[in-house]
Amino acid sequence: MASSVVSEKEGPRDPRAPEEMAAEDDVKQGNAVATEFRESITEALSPRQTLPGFADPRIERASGVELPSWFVDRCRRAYLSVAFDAAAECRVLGVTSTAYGEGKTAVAIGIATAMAIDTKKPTLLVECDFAAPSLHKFLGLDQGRGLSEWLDGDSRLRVVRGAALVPNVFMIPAGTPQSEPARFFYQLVDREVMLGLRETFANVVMDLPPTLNISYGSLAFGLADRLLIVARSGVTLTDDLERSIKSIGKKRVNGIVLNGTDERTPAWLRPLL
Amino acid sequence: MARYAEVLFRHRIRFTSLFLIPVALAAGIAVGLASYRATASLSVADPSSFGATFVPVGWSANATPAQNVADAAALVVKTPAFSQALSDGLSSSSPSLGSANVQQAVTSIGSNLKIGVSGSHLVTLSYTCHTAAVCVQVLSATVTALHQQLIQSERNQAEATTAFWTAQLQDSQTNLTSAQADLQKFAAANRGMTVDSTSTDSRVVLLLDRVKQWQAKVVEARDNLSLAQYTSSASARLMEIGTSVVTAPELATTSLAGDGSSAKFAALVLALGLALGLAYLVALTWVDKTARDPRALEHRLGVPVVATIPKLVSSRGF
Repeated sequence: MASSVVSEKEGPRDPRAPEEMAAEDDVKQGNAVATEFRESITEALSPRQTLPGFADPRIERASGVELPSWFVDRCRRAYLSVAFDAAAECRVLGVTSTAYGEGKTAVAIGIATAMAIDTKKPTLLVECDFAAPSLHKFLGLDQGRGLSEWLDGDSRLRVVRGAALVPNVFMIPAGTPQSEPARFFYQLVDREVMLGLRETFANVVMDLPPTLNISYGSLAFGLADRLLIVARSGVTLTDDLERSIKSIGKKRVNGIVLNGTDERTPAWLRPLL
Repeated sequence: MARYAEVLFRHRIRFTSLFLIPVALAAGIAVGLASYRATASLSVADPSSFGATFVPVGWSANATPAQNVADAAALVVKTPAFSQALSDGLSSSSPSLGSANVQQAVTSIGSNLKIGVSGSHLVTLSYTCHTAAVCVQVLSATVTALHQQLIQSERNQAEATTAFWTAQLQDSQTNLTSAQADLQKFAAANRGMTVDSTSTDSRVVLLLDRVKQWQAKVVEARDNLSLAQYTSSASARLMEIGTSVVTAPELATTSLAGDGSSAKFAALVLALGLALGLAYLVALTWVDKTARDPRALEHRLGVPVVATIPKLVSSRGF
């Protein structure tokens, strides 16, 4: 799947209210940010036509992410196993893990791809791992700016659009690594960005930070309707997985995706064991 | 079980090695340390079969001929004379053995030679060693040496018995001569006194009793000496003629693993090796605390494993 940046817009208006502004103004400002977010996405979904023979200067070319079809199919199994509210217009699925290197970003990409293919509806993959972003590596992009910079009001919103087979997949990288990731989750919650996302996309996949050793889990994991934990077979300790589930809450975790399995037992023998 | 199988197949090279090492070791032990057993049997005749009624020297009247010869043989094999005879016999009959093998055979004969009885007239000999051909050669030499030494033993005992009774006879005759001389001296000193069995004189009676006593001793010693000489010669002859080889030394088994004693040890080594391998498997499985088995995860965590994704190899590192 080749991906490319198809839309960028002027950054949101400074969401920070002057100190002397009243609380009501803050709410209005928050709503304005959500509105601007929707406008940014709308533009990304409907790019302006470029004159024939001229390259669109706004398009940031990126090398593709190649996920095998079987990988996407396994990710499809994962999201189809999660029961969403049938009446919900938007499904928000969070993907996390116990620690780094367990494949949560790859699984999140796979799930977003599968959802986009299956539903034919706009699907967004949001990278919320502000401390150690890695989505840009998968997309072959420079790290550059991303959601954190946009939330800080330092830059425009960067939306990367999937092309070719899944043009309805949109991805928002987290941006440069941040030393205080908690504040971005607070802003995501406080400024009702999720509201804008829900109104715009049918499916939202959130690449959340690993569960262990973070203090802002309640903020981060509360953004998604459903949660999946990715564990790497032969690497993730079962005790860590248990601690993660305990810290999130067993009811909040809808399933485990066991990644990187490498079963050596012959297939004919497995049913006998 | 699935976990153990997974660990087993994951480390299949290691476990194949762990399996093959004890198997190879056991096979090596079974063949390399194989011991062979050569057997032979001797028939021992009863003196009565020759019409004689004597009890051979050193034999117990309550034991069977086979038991008597087996007991005698058990004593003989421990003597230096037997070792020398065996060494000489092996050196002359099997020069290809070499002095080292001969010396080893002579040294180990006490522990590797088993003497038993079968029935009342059959003595069985078995010799165990690590080379089939050597076993037969050593047992052949042993049978010959044993036969010779048993005869020699009978002769030695006969000589000792004869010497004993000869000495007893000489003593008795000396004492008889002395007693007779004392009686004659008394008669010469007391002329006119009746010096015979009708005498009532206490001194005469005492002297006469002494003479009679030694006369009886002389007769007894002479009789015993005669009997000993007869028994001794008869015993040696009985051993010489009445002991014959019924079954010549031959290998009890010709299989690659010999008599099977090394196979038992090999089986023990194999079982121990496999047990160690099994223990290693259990330890590896127990030490591995990572998430691998979806069913085990669901059972422990109470959260469903909604998908398993095989290892993805990508240039992008995920």
